Amino acid sequence: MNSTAPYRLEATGICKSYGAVSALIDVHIALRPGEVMALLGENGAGKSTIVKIISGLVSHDEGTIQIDGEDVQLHSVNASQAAGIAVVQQEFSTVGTLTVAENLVLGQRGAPWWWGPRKLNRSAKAILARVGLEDLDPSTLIEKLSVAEMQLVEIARVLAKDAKIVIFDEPTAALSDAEIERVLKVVKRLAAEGRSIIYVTHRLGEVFEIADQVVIFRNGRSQPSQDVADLNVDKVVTMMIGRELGDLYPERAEGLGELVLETRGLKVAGTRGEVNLKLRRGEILGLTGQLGSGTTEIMKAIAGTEDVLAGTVELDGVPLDLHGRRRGILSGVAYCSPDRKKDGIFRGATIRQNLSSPWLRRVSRLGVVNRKQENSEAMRTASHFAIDQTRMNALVGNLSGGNQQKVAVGKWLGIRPRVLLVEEPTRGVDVGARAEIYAQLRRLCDSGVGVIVSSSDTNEVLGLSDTIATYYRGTQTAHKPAGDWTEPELVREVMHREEVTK
Amino acid sequence: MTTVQGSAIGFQERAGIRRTMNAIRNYSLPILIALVFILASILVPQFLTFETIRAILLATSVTGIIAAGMTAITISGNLFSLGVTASVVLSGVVYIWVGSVSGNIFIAAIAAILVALAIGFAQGFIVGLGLNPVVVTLAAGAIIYGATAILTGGEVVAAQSRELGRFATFAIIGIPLPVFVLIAFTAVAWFLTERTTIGRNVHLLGHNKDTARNSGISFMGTTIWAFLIFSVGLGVAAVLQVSQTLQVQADNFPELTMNVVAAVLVGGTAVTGGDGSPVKSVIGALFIATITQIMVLVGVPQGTRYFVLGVVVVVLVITLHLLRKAGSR
Amino acid sequence: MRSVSTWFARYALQLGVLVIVIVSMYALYPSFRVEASIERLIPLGVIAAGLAVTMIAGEFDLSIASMAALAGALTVVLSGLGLIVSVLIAITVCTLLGMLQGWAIAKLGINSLVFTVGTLVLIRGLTWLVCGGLAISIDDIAASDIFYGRLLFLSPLSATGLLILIGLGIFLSRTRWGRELYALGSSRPEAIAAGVRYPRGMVIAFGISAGCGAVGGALTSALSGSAAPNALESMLVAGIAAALVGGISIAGGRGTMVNVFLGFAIISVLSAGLAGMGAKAFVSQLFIGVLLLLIVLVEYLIARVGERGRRSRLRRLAGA
Repeated sequence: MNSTAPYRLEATGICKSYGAVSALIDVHIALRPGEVMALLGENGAGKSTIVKIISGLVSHDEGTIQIDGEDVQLHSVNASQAAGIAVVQQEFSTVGTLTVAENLVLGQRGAPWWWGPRKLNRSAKAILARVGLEDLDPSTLIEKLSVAEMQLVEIARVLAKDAKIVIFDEPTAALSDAEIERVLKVVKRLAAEGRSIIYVTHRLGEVFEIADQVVIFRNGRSQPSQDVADLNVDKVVTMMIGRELGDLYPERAEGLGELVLETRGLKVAGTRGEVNLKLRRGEILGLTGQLGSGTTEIMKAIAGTEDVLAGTVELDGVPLDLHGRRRGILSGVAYCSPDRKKDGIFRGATIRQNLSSPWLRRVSRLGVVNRKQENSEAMRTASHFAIDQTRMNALVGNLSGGNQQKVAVGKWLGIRPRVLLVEEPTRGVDVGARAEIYAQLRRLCDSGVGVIVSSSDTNEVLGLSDTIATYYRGTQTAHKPAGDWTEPELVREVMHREEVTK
Repeated sequence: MTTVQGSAIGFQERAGIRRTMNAIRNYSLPILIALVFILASILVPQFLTFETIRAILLATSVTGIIAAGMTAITISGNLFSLGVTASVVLSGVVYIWVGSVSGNIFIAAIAAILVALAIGFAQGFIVGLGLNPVVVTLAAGAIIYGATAILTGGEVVAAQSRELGRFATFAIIGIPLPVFVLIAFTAVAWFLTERTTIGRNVHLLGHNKDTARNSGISFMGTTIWAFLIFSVGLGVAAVLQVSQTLQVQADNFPELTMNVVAAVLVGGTAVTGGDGSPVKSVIGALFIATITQIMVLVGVPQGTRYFVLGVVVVVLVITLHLLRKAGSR
Repeated sequence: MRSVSTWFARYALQLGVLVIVIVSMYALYPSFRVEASIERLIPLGVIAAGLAVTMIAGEFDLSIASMAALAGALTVVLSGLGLIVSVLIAITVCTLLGMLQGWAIAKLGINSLVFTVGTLVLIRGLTWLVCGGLAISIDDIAASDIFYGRLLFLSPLSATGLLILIGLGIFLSRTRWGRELYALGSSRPEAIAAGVRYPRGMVIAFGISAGCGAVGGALTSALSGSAAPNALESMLVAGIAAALVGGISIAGGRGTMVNVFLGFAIISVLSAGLAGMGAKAFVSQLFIGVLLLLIVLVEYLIARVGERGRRSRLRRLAGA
């Protein structure tokens, strides 16, 4: 890597907004041939957006992108591929019903029109060997592979494209140590071949092993890139933290009540060993970890939407029925999913209809909805969450992210929950709405509801929770009262605890 | 991480466009019908007569009742039932048989509706398991058709007494009973889908299956209810239809399924589910019946009528689709 | 060889059903001849093939039977130019119409089920117009004679049908455009993200579907020497049944022409056998419906059992 060579990729002044919300503000990235650049930053800081822009999935509002000194318009996936860019996505982009070999050539420019299996398999084997999958039969259907194998095939797909610029978006989230080593070796070799690599990750260990440069994203802005040689873990952690705790978060609880929820010997796919959690009345328990840490599986298991492999969950001393959401709701367990667009709200329905959806039966007699009762109950929830009460007939899909999230969380008030499980409570939510959601969560807690919050935003977890349990790659690494944590400690805990996986 | 920018104006403009598009989409059909009525009254001589209006309303009643009921299935996200014809025939046969044996048209009607409910429940259950509704209802249609044909030997089942036609011949101030039944059933279907918990769940299920599951709404239960609402409409429509013709045969009503589906689509109910209303589907049926009747009056041959109907359905479906897309950006 | 046993496993259910059906027919109706069933490749086999192609791409072409009728009408109306010529013109025109449909569906972003409900009526109406509202026939009856030849047990028609199925089979399993249809059908967002062109896929899928329908309709009319406005209406349900019974997945992304052939064979043998026994047409409809329902229920149960086995395996591993 020659530090005086001209830039291969230079993105300058990139801005992107979604409606009223800015995802990227004046972002600048410059990459040389043979260089590995790590992108770091909290979820929502802008890393995924810039990756989507460079890969052609999304167009930017302002700014220029130059490749080898020339302006390029990356307005489509095809244009991006034509410019020599390949991406290993976070969400898999392989087609399940096609074979491994076919996926390796799918959509590629200049692919042959005849896909004879013998020829495809032969070229596939060569590429698969480079990611350590030489024993994998290329005629296997993708859907039959394990998650780790799928991830490696994703990476192999990119190798097949012979690209100048390769982007890896959290490629090791689901991989074992040996597989991670393989991936890092592949990245190093690609860089040695003179390609430019952008590597997005949450794991500092990987950054220090393979990256030359680091760009840290904060609140939609990119900080100037730094040489990895000049950094250590503490310095990086300090640069990533950008917000004062300030007035955003309400006061923590002063005293905690009796045990409300307890997991005994709980085992869930995605965690190593048993999950042991205790939740007390009036307590906000924060679970935090990055992608692949196991927190979302634990939350879903308690909610009843994910399989429990062993163990029980007890609510007020009585074992919970964990078979599906209906039973959970009847027991008083409320659950907010991390992806409200997918399964947290009804975008085509009104605010009132959304708010009343879990407790409609309570305001109905003989099957007929008592609209006045429904309305008053919905208005009460709206006032708690500072939702504009004059807009009860607005479609939730037209609301801002903050208001949508308030609806997604607020609707559970009506079932008089005993436990509220919330994943990513403020993803894609503006500051004003965040404060309102936090305040309401605390109020709920004070009224006797136990709240478990799972979030990859360490600032939020620290500010909101009374107790924090941290997870790293499926294992619980610490469980301390929030007052015993500092933010740098917390960030470091979820990003760099290699020893627990040995 | 995210900050609010000063693009509030763009936001509001877009909201305004959305509102306009949605308003056009929701009111276009009634306005269109009104326009057609006015034009036809002026241009077509025999249009604005009692006989014509009555013929239109009668033609709408059978299709409209079934379409109103089927809307519940569409709203729930379960697309359509493609086995309408077979179920109507079977219910019609049951009506004539029970009517001939019991001599009581009300008992016969109830029997017909019960049979429709039974086969509707079975289909709803299988779809509720998660199987594709198009396949299930197609298969059910073939099975019911075959079974009916075997039971009747493929012969015409004719009513022995004119009594069985009372539901069709009975008229109030000159308007035949089926029209009133249409209005009544539409009102009931509307009430069931708009004012009950079941109806609300049908809408929510259609809006987002996953969110519905997370909210504790049962896919199986809601789907079955949608099919039951539909089946009542089937039974009622079958009784009214057979009352008019006083006979039924396994091969009857070959175009009924497509007419009903066209009525639902033209009416504007979204095939993706969530939005829609039985009233809209009845208006769709009315529109199709009006256009058809005008063509008959003008003397357009059957083939051309069919072609024009196809053009109308395609154009309206495309327009509604584009309006919906514009209304949700 | 591993691939032979996996081949059998993939089609085991359909092969089993086919064998049962053939044996039952022979048992119940001694003078049954299996070879006669293959005649129905035109139109049932090719229509099932066309439906399968759009299903594989994740769509639905309800207009295929109307397209077949239109092709038949065009064949008869243009027969003055020579029967072979009119057949080719009919097939070409309908294929172009189908490609137009596919393009419209892709550009509008509209649900193909909804769109083809409209076009099925529209094209049927076109057929009415072409026919002039009546059944029509070719003037020169002798022109159809060439279609009455025989090669082994195949006639020119069934040989054409077989060639089309084989050709489509190769297209779907060995060519880039064919495999892209599977990608669009099973994982559309991923396929598009990978660079597969969705509009092209739709044009190809609906073009093939219309083309298959057209072949079925044109050759049927060429053989019989006549066409009617309401011809082949029952072919839609029969074709869907054949495709699904044969194992094409309605969810998209799965199924081969072998599935189509097996499904067609099952339905065809069943219908032919029942007809030979003197049963009326509606009896075979009943059987087809039952068969269709059974097959989807069986596939559902197999999937459920598989899920349960996977879960208990995970549980055992965790508890151990």
